[in-house]
Amino acid sequence: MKLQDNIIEYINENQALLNDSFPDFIKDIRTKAQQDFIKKGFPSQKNEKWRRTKLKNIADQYYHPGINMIFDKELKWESCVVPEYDRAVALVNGHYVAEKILEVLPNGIVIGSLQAATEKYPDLVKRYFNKLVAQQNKAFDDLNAAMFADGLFLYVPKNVQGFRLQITHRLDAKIDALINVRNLIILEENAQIDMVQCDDSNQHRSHFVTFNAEVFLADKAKLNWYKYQNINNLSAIFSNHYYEVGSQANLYTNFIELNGKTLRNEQFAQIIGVAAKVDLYGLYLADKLQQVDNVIFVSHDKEGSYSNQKFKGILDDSARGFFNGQILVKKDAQQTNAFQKNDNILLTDKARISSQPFLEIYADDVSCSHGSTTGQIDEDALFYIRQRGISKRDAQLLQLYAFTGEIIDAIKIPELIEPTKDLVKKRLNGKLDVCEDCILQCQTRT
Amino acid sequence: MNPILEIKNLHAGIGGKEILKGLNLTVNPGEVHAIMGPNGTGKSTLANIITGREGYEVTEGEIIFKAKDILSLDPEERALEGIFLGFQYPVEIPGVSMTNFMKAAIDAKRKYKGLDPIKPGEFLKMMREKQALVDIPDKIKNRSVNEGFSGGEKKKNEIFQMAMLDPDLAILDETDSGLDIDALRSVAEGVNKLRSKDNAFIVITHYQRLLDYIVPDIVHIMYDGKIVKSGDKELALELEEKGYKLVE
Amino acid sequence: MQSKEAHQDKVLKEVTEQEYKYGFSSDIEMEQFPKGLNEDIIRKISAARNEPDWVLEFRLKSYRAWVKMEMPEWAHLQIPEIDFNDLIYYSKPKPKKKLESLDEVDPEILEVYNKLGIPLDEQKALANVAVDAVLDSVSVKTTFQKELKERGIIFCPISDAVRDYPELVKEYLGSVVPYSDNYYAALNSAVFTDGSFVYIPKGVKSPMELSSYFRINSAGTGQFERTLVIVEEGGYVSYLEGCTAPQRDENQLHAAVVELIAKKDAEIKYSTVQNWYPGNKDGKGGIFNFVTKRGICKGNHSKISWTQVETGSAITWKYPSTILKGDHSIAEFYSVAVTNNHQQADTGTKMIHIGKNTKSTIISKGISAGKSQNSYRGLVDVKRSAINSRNYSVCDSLLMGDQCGAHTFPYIDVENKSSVVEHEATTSKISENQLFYLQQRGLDEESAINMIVNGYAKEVLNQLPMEFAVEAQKLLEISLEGSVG
Repeated sequence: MKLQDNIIEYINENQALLNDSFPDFIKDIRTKAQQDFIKKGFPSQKNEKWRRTKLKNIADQYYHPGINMIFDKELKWESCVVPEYDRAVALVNGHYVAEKILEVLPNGIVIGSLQAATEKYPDLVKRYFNKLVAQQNKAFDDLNAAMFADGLFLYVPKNVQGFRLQITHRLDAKIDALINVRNLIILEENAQIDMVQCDDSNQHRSHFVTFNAEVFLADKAKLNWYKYQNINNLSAIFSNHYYEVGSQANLYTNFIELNGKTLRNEQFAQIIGVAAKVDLYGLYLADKLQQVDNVIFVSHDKEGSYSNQKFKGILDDSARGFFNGQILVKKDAQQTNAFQKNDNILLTDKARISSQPFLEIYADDVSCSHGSTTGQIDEDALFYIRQRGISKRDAQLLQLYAFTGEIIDAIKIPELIEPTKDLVKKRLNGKLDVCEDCILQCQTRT
Repeated sequence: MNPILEIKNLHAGIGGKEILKGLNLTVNPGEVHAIMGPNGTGKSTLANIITGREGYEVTEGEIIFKAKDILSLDPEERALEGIFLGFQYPVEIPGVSMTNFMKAAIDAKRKYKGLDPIKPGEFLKMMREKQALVDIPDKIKNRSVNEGFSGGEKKKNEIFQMAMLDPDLAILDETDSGLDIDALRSVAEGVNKLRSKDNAFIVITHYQRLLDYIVPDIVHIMYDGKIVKSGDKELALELEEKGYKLVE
Repeated sequence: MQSKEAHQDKVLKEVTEQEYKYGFSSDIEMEQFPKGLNEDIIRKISAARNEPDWVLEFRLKSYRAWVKMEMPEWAHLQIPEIDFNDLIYYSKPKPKKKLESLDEVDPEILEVYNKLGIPLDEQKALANVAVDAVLDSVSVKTTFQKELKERGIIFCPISDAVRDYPELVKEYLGSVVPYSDNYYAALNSAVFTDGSFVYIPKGVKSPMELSSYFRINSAGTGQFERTLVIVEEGGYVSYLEGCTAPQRDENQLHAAVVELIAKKDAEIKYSTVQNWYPGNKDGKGGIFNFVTKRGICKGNHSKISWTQVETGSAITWKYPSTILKGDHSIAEFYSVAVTNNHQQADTGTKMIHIGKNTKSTIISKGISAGKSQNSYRGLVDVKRSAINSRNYSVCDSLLMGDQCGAHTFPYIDVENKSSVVEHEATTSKISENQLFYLQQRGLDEESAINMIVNGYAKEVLNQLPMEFAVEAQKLLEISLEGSVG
């Protein structure tokens, strides 16, 4: 547990650097998280949710623990040219990078650095910050809270709609580094935004990232969050997403997980209102020694909501996948409709999948179902395609590509569909390398 | 004149069980052969073996297609050489649109012949022409291969693909099963329009009625893994009348 | 017309006040050891049973392992603290003299079985069932031994088997469920008192169903029976197990171990109708049923089917499992689990695919009513070596009333590319449409619900041998009478 010891040593020796730039209410949360991390450390392999994840290759490695505590003035804001976007921002090595560190847009949206927001809008941040994390306190939450330097702060006022934000989340340290990013996103009543996030990496260095996001959707708020993960195969990102979903609110996420040594996305959606709608989509394409985890939890606390989880994956070579999806329907959540589906294709005998679709139901007037399939390409279809003169490899690719269609077709931004298809095709073809074919088509890169 | 297809003393089976037991068949250019026979006699096995489906073992004999032994070829290589199979049960392939599928197949064939991929305009024109030939609705272009097609649409779609790929030898495996008379007629018309002096057809069927529309040059009766009787189209009528007692 | 809610309340009340019909205790003179568990007690148990040294060693080894283990906490169960030193680990009806025939069995014991509707007498010959009855910890009578013996079939209390067939028992005891497997298996291995032993020789198909009835009678006792079924190449047996216990205020512990071994081409069908006392409507009393059941399809083309109808026990923790080691072996798990009042069940199966072309099927039907919690928990583990394997699982849950819970926890691990694993599950209440349809045809609500529930469970009930299927159906009706969701 080399990494854990390094982090603990770093925490003990750099109290001032870690804590002094934050107001007291954050400092309190932070110092508690530091103590808790020192006490608990990394999750044990005995933990059901971590048994099937190879943590050792991260825990035994050295990552510089303080890299994102030091703001590198050389970091450039890179503008990505994608039409139709209202704003493009970047998170580089855990720092918010933009021309203005915190700004209020004409429509009232506040966007900027979380660190800056804690100083400028302490009351607003205080009302939301750590509220959802504290309730759950999942693995790596303590580490994230103990060490993060910055992240995105986004506040969308009531009735503001049609805002489209692009986030480039870039790993760009020239040494192996631990990076912790903390984000806070607040949508007031009837607000609506789209976010398109790309996780990518510039350097061929090993990064270990914890990315935490707390998202609040007030009544009737709508968030669509697309994420493309395409980092180098030395690096790992563990992302914990927490959503609080109000009445008639609409949460939609679609994560396309393409490259990285270890990608873990945990999403915890708590529906506290009535008649809300939650759709969570995910596609994971892994090969070589990659590990891709999706841990999903949707909690229906009140009546009349709908949720759907749909995750599909293709695992090649020695890749491992882990899907743990849970639907919780509490006693008061009558008339819930909740669904969950996980489909996998294994391409080799060394690839592994562990699929755990869980239902936990305490209300009777519900319609809930789940399913999980693991298999291979349909042999009859393969022969049919080959009989038309298409090579075996192409016939396989065609079918694998078709398998991904259900997730891609669920994308609601038309301009994103074709680029996503291209990306997936290239990935399946083995032609997608780090960032080269980034969907965001960044034109100026440093 | 060289035959298109020559099968000599073919013994083959699946999972150690012999199904074809010394089958001989010669098909010349311009000919339409009908193969009839009771269920379980090996008709579909024959189609699968000619087209190279995995899982079957050929224990003896040879299959010569256009003067080339094809037994060691992959299914796609045989297809590219010019063998087309109209499936008894066309497979549904969700997520793959007919247009993409046909474009990929046409381009594979062009590549095999050393040609560049087909130009989109040319391809769409070709689609329209061939569609007209088999009277298939335009909307199928954007649908997934066979997904949600009716029985008749699936079979028409097979003929449409045959028209697109212009094979030297087309094997139609029970293309008539499950078709009403109108669909049957339009499928047969499509086939008749594609007949030429250079290509050949093997029509596998249970019933004589298809042969009213696709008139065969030679009719074979297959029984217990062998062709036991061959004749002209009158044989089919005789079989219809007397049943398989004729050969038992 | 009375409102729907009022009517529901009425029927729910009827259900919750349903008396446990097997709840009576018998006045049979019992020989008991003092409460508590230690190496001395284990030595005493072993001595009382005239066991050879190797059995005592097995017990002590297990006990020493158990002491170091902890109660598993991963199940979806609220298990009150159990004081393992407050239990009696050996309880045996005092025989007035050595029994030679059925006529000599204590009439009161016979009466117990008669009350239970278990004909121990020769009438059962017509039904073709051989019965081994285990009262508390000890086998009281095994019928039809002679007829079976003629075919080389051994069906006897495991205590007799230890004495009469030591090599067999020694070879297989703990071979499928090692003493260190889990907390309750270790406990059982230390203190097991009786249970059944079945041996089917090569090529022999048992001409009759073999059956055991287990009953916990004395207060404060634990029952730790041990069942071992070995079927040699090409053999077949269908084994049935039924369980009841009297109504008592305190919780009683049942921690059994069942091991099945199927050699090449052998088939074992193992059926259970579990109706231990579930506790009263306030959740007082009832059996804690912590059972480890596991079979191994050791040889190629072997088959093991588990069928269970679980209606009893306050808490059930039970996962009848199969290791599919032989190539082309087949395993099945059919389960109906009903919970009512304050019952809790966490039950399911494990299918471990090791051999090639192995096939498993899981059909699980959960029904929750009252304030109960009913969980399916199942593992399908397809190892890399298990090429071309198949698993198909369906786990449905039915909820009756808004006070209960129905949960599904499947774990699916696949490590090769040629296998196909499919799992599906739904959770719902009884369909209003079905109910209305039947009522429109003139059925009252009770009957309509019975009919729907029976239909829902049919796929599983059909797997049971005839005599059991009827009993199981009755049990379902009793457990759920009037439970409208």
